[in-house]
Amino acid sequence: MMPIKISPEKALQEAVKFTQKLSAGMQTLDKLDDVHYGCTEKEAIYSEDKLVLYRFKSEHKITCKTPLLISYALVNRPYMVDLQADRSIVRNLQAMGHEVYLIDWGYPDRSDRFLTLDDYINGYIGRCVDVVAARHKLKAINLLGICQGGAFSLCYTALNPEKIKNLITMVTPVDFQTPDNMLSHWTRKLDLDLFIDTLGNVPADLMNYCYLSLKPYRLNSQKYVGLVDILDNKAELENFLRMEKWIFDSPDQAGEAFRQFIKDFYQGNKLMKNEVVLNGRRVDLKTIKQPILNIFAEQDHLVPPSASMPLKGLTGTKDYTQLAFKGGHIGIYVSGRAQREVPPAISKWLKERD
Amino acid sequence: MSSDFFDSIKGGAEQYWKSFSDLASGTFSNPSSTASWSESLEQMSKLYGKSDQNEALMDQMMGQGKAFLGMLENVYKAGQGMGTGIGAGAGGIDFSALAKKTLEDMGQQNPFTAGFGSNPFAQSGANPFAFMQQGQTPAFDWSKLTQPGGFSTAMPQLMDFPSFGLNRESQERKVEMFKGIKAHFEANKSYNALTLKSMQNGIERMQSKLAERSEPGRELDSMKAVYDLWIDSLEESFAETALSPEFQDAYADLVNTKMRVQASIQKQVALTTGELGMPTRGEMDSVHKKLAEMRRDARSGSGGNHELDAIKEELAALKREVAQLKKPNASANSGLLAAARQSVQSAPSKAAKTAQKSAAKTVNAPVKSNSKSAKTASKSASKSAVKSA
Repeated sequence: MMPIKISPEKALQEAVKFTQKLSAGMQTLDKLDDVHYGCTEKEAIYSEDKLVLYRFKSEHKITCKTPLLISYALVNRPYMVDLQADRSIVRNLQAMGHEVYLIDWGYPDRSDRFLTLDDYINGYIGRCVDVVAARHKLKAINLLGICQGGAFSLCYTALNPEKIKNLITMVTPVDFQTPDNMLSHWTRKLDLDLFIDTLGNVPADLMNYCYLSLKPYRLNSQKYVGLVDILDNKAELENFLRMEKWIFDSPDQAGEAFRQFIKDFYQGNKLMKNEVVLNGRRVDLKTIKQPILNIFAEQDHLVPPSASMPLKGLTGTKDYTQLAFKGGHIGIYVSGRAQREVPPAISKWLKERD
Repeated sequence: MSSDFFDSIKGGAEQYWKSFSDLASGTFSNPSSTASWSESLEQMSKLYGKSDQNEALMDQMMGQGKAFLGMLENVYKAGQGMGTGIGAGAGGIDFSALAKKTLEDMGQQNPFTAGFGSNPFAQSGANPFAFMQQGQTPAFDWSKLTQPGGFSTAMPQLMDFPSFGLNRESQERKVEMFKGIKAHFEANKSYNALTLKSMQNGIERMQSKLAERSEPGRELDSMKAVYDLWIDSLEESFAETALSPEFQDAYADLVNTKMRVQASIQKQVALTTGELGMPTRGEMDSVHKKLAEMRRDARSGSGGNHELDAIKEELAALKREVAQLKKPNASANSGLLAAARQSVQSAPSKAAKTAQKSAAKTVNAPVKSNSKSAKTASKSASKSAVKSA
């Protein structure tokens, strides 16, 4: 006997209810305004090429004397940290007395194809760190690296330890070859030279497709069937659309940097072996003596916890803290739980080391 | 079959369409009493239209909605004993049969990945690189690949001939391209076979999950619950496949063969555009590479650069030294410079050379400890001597 007990009447009722919700949703969709993102006022304080360094204007008193610079990943856009008023890590950190800066990498085009990892890490991040430090007349500032930006922050700190006071890594891969890392598994036998020599830059749509195909049924189907349940709620629908905007608003990836990142980090797993070389300088994680706060998400399918956790023990710091967040790679920025748990944890940790 | 049976089916269909029509005060029309429920979504799309903002979302939602409604309709029909082959009645729904029927209704596509809306991969099925194939090989009919005979009918005969003579290189390039296409086609087949197998495994996995729910009270009593459990099963099965060594090889083959095809097409395009006097990708890349190097060089000379600071310091020191040397009574050197000037004035051509040498020798002496400074100072002094002359 099969355990599906649905009478014809029940099936009919469910179909009618589903269609009713869909119809109501169509009317809501029809009335929706343009969805906006980014809620905190900010000013551009430095720019070069496509990069813009922003300072978020705060209504709160700054009580932490060392500013915090956020370095996001090259994939997707950094406004995820300030998506909307009730889902903003930036806004929450400001409320706790922190001055927050953010690097926006922009959208690389074919003229940026030859940007290397060194250009991004020692070049762009380096100059942003210098600009923020100079504004505050400090020798070292706090750095928060997210995802790929976390891996970059580790490299930068290892090569420029005197410029970083405290380092926070968030959903950051360190061991790129753990058995549960699907992205890593797929990239292992790709001919990256052929790939980049052919494509130049890596198209954003290709990146998006790759991410969607990690969970093809959940992300291409279930999400949209489930959406029917919230279609009649304008606010929730706007939240959903804002997330959709972020998910598919992806920059192309500069070819040379991508080639190096996949070959050295994913295929060679060189970060944890201290074998990454940037402009002739070897990245040795042991040179990082700064306090480190490593935050990862327990249900992260892009950067599994097993990829982040090995950071403990790889650096030279004696002050290492680890925070496991109950959620996924996206939820760690935007979920209600994230707003309650992540910024307060960062703030407390930083203030104890200010 | 009895007339009661048909009345029952007709009654259910009419009930659905009536409810559906009521949603918009009779705006929707019922095409026929036996029309598929999913057709209602077509009408809904037409009624509400699409804006730029919601077009992709509507496409995606409608596509998935149709698959879901299709499942519900099959369950409904099975319950009415319509011979859908999916069970129902006292034995409940046979999930395998329901899954099979749903796939058949969707034209054997995977209903859960088929609806990509305006995504460039919409035509690609399980092949993430298929969108790149569109419109890039005008001499090649992709549609023939899926027909009986496949490659043998689609491939130009030139693949089988050795190339020679004036057009040898050109033919070789084309052969390389077509061989690449063939390899990619094979890679695509292997990749699709694995994803299909994963889907079939997902259905089996679903059966095990259902078996766990066969105790009274744990049965699934809504199609949404069945659907969610099916998605879980499919995802688990896909993850298992996707992390396998076979999938790793298939994925790499798919991407690598695709890149080879694209590279050979690009080579052809570059040759053609080059002949037309247009800039090629290679030329643009060359310029961009130089630009990147120049930007790098320019920036390495600014913003907290130690080397630049050292050069600035050295320059300042040199300026101080030159200023010192120019002072009338600063040292005996000034006398020598004056003498040099005088001799240059009296015999311009010869004297100028002598003064230059003399000044250079003299200036070299006090700054020998700093070789770079010395050279620069020597040049400065020489220049100033010549200028004076």
